[in-house]
Amino acid sequence: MKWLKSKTEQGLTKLLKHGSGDFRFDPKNIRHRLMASIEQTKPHPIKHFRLNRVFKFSASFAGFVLIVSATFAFASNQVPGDKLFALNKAGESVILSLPMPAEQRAQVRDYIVDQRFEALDAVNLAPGTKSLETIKESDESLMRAVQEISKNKQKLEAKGKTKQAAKLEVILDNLQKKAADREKIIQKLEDETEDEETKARIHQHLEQIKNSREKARLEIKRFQNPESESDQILF
Amino acid sequence: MGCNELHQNSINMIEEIDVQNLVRRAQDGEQEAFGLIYDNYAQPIYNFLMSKVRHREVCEDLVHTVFLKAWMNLKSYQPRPSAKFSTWLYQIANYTLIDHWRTKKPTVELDDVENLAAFAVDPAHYEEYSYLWQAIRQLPLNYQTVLDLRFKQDLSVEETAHIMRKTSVGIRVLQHRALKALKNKLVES
Repeated sequence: MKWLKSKTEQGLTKLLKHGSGDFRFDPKNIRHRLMASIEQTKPHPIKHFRLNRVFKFSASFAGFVLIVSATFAFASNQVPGDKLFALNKAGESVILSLPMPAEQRAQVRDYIVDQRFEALDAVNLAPGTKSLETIKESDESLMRAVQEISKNKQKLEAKGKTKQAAKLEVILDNLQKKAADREKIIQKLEDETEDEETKARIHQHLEQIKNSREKARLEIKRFQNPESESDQILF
Repeated sequence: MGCNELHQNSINMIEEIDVQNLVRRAQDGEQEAFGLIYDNYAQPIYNFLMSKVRHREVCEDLVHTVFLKAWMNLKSYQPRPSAKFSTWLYQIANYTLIDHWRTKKPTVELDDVENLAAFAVDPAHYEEYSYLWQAIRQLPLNYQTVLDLRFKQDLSVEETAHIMRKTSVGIRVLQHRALKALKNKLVES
């Protein structure tokens, strides 16, 4: 049956092809009209033109974002003293400028301090010219972290949000413990440094780290004994 | 009868590669190149339109419209490996025809006055197949179009699908139905 069908179709298609031919047509007359119309009509600009521009702009923007992202990703591994460390710090500032809950902000601060302390550990293993820069960055990151976390913790306490405040206290406690470990490393680096000026500056940063750690300790103590007004630290 | 034999009826068709060269020149604004494109495709486009419109003056106007539209939109044309330039032209012709049916004013039908053979290059040939034209004319427009493109213009399924904005499978189904309907009409007559 299928064979029969196809045979019928074949016959019809043959018939259609045989039956086709040209109609009488005077192309010159229409050509003349057409060329006259063309003379007066400019072709439409390519419709994709705007799209192309949008596409090109999008591609450029995507490329720019990619380059910036890649640079920031690369810079995130840079440690104090490296050429792109400033970019790493700029990236951290951007993150910290974003609105986020106090606990999350404290975690970011904790992470930054961790990064600086890891760099300090690396310097300890291979002392070199980056020592002072690394110590300075460790000191500053710890100081800022303790200040901000303590301030936010006090705000939470004032609002009666003791659970959230307790979480910040845990982070503060970790920070002061980590700082205590690094004080030993910095003390060792200070002892090994022969240049007096550098030695003095390392010592200065060491004292500030001790001070920050002490502030963190007192803040925790104040939280555990809220009546002890004498121990309250105001930032 | 193959496609080459079919196109022998029309003006000698030039190779696709030469057509594409002409298109590029026309895209750069060379009007004479577009004139040569017109010379190459005017007759097949006229045949395609005439077999449906069956009114010489209307059909000539439509041919003019098709090529003017092609000129105006030529810069948006991008060659594709699977489709010839003529596919693009037939697509414009098909849409022009659909627009014409939508907005057409009452005209005296050619068949009411004269036989279609009167407008054929070889009237005897059209007389011979007049029963076929009568049967085709009674089919729905999309059936007429698919039969015309596939068998009279000898375009491939893919090209026909491109012109009619359907899938290849859709064209095969439409073609099958159109042939079936044509067979029934021929049996009836």
